[in-house]
This record gives sequence, C-alpha cells and structure tokens, in this order.
Amino acid sequence: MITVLNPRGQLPAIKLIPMAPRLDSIDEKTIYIVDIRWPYTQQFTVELRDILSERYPNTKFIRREKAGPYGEADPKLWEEIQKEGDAMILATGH
Amino acid sequence: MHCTTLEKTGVPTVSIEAEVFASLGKMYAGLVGMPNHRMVTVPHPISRVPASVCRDYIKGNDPITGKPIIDEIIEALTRPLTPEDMRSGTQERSESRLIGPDTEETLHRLFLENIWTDYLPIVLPTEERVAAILKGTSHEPDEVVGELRSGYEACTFTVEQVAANAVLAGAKPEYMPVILAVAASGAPAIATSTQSFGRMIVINGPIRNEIGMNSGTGALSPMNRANAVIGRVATLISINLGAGGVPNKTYWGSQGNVTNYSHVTFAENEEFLPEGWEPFHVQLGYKPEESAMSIFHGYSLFHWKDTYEKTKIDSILNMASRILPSGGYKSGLSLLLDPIVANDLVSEGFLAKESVSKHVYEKTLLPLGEYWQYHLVNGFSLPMGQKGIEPYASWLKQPGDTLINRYRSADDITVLVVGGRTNDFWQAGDFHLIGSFSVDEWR
Repeated sequence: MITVLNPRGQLPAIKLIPMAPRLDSIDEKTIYIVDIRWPYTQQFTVELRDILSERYPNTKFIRREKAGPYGEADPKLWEEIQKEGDAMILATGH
Repeated sequence: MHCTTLEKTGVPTVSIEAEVFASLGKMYAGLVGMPNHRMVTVPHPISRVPASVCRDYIKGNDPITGKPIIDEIIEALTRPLTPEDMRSGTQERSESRLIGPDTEETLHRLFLENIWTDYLPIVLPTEERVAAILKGTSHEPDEVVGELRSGYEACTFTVEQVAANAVLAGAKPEYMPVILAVAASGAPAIATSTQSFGRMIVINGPIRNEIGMNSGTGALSPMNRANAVIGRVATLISINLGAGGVPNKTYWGSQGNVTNYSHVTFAENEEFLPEGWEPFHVQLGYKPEESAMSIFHGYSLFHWKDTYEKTKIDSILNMASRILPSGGYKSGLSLLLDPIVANDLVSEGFLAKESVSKHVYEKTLLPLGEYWQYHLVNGFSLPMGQKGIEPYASWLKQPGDTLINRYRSADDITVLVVGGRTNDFWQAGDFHLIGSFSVDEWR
C-alpha cells in the first residue's frame, strides 16, 4: 500500500450569481439579439431577428453585433442594453 | 460570461448554443456562478450555412429537449425564477494533498479514470519520489509558482504540485528548473479551443548540456529523455494544474494535435550557429551564459520538400508565403534550420538571423482581399478593424488588391538552428512566441 501526492492544482472558489428576474411577458418589450461574431455565423442572428419579429409583432427585436472578437466584452453595448432593452438573446458560436 | 454580466444588472438573458457545445455551455455556466443559466440548443454547425438552413434550425426543435426552439427562447425569458436560480454565496473547492494509501494497481487505475495522465505509462508520485525530485530546485515545496488556465478556470499551484507532475512524466531532478519555468510561464500547453493547438518549447543556454538535452540528430524525435519528458510535463501540468485536457468537457480540439504528446521541444544547437548568428535567447536580451525557456503557440510544422527553389532563401520564401498571416490573432513563422542550412544562408548573404527575418518579412506580401478571407483574420482582425484599431481600421478602407505584409513585423519571424548536420533539412511552422522565461531563477 502506498500514498501518492495529488497532481491537481487548486481550483478557485465559485461565486454564485443570482439570476435577474424574468419578464412577465414579452409584449411591448425590447429584446436585444446579440451576435458574438463567431466567423461566418452572422446569418443565423439575422434570421432569428426576422423570424421572432414576424412571430411577435408587439415586441421589438433589435439585432446588434458585439464589438471585438467573440470572447471580448462590449461595455458600450451592455450599457445600451441596460438602458434601452428589457432582455437579451445571445448567439452563438460555430 | 456575457450573459452573467447582463444578468447582474437585472437584464434577463438566454443564450443559444450549438448542440455539440451544450454540455460545455452548462458546465461553463456553473463555473462562472450561474449554474441554472438558461440555454437553448440548435443544430450544429452554424458557420457558413445558408439563410434557409438557419431558418429551418430556428423554426425547428431543440435537438436535445425536442421542444420548439422559439418557444424555449421566450420561455427562458419569462418563466419565473426558482429559489435555486436566486442563490448567492461562495462554493469552495479544495483538493487533498495526498491520495491513498492504496495498492499501486488501484492508484494507476484512479489516475487513468480521472484523466490525470496522458495515457502513457506514468510513475506514481510517492512522497519519496517527489522529495527526491525537489532536490533539483532551491525553491520551497509550498511556494506558489503561478496560475495556469488550460480549461475554463485559472488554477494556482505550488512547486510541490509541479514536482508531482514531473515525477509522473519520468523527469530527473536536474530537469526541475526548466520544468518550473514552463509552469511559471502561465502558458498552457493544451487549450480548450475547438482548434487543435500545439506548442513549441525551445531551451537555450548552459542548462541544455547540463541536463543532457538534444539539439542535434533526431532532436525533434523521441530520442532523448530530457527533450521528451520536458515536453510531456508541459502537457501533464496543463491537464492537472490547469484543469484542462478532458475531451468534450475542457478540451474541444476537433481533431487534437499529435504534437501534444511532448510538443515540439528541443534545445537550440548553439554550438553550430554560424558566426554572427546569435542564440535565440541572446536575441531576446539574455546573456549567453544565462539559460532560458521560450514557449511558442502554433499548430504544426511543414518541411522544405514541398518547395523546389535552388537557393535556401527562395525555398524559405515559398514556404513563408503559405503560413497563416499575422493578425489580431497572434501567429507567426518559425524556421527550424539544420546548421547546414544556416551556413548556406550565410553564403547567400544572410550574416545574421535578423537579416533572414527582415528579408522574409519584406518579401512576403498578400492582397487585402485575400487577407480578410482567412478564418482567424475574419474572427479577430476584422472586428478589431471595425472597432477602429490600427492597422486593421485603415486596411478596411483600402481596396482588395492593396498589398500588405503577411507578417506584422520581422519580429514575428523566428529563426532557430537545430539538427545534426546529416542533411540540409529544414522545417517551418506557424509558431509564434508567447514569451521567454528565465530557467536560472528556478535552480
């Protein structure tokens, strides 16, 4: 019988984040569709906006492409969404 | 990640994930503190599919739940939260220092089942073996070396934990300064990306001969213990100290990379550098008597037999004209030249490594129209240009037949000498320097 050292490193603690309250309905709301700009996937969010707009005419769907590469934050856009939007749909990679 | 930023401000979100990444999305949501983040899955791939296919996806069903995708999107934004969804606080995660006691057979099975190995035979890191290998460094076992993020989280680790992985790989104590430099670089050898990265690890200075590294015949082959083991440890510490390397959880390289077994790890052949050609670490500012470890990011190597030119420099230009251009996504060119080739280049007038780099930089041009088509350029340089970052912003305003340099600067072109002078062989790769780190500070 032998004892060995654990080869693993120390994982960081996870800070839990409460989710934001949901909408009671999407009527009369403004919903942002944010494209993270994975290469050659932009058509998907264009179609998503168009289909959702057809289906829910009382909801405003605004499509935006996030600035910078896909992993990078876009503080200006986030600020716009906080001020002008009620919810966000984020899409998508690959 | 972007969703949690908005959720914190009170904006409800839903993310749409391609099917093949659904489990990744769920796992990542847990790691960033929102395990119940709402996601909807669509078929894969999405890249380059026509509008009609996108519409079919969106109007169809979630491939995992079977429910209509549109209904799921709306429900994700409107279904009230549960108490679980509103949890806050901190989840600590700790690992025990020791494992066992148990039989060797059981421990070997444990390491395999937990994917704490690279599936090659390992040496179990008993306390005695780790203590022995720690004699190779003056640093205390409990000293924190740094942080590594091979998966989705940055883990911290100590000298002792690096030593445990060095034992796993079959290292000798004298390899520890190089191994610790690799660990301290913070550059994981295995990454999460769907692309299948590799690494090149180049050692310079007296440490090469002190620990018996190979810079001559077969230096890039599995024919030298130090070369093989140092490269292997880079992989093991990425898996174990960087929380990475588990397929379909923390590793998504679609095909993987055969170099990941021990990477392109070698010592530069400083002894057969032509006069006027400096060792790589001296080019970076180290003294010749200092030892350094340089780590590069890239994918693969190509060999010169794909070219036909009579002179070495023209042959190199042929190869250099095919490598991924430098852009917002770092890439570069690394030339691995047998000493015979280095001397041939001197005969062709290249009296220093820098003159080779400069010549290749100046002579490899491509039209902007072609540049923007490269996948990584499209994904990284184009968005930077659209944000106003130069030179990409100016390039976006120029016509497609405008010629630009393929590489951002001559510094993106590295010249290294390795080989045993049995053939005027050379290879080139898209390896770009991440950084160069002192080995001596870890003695």
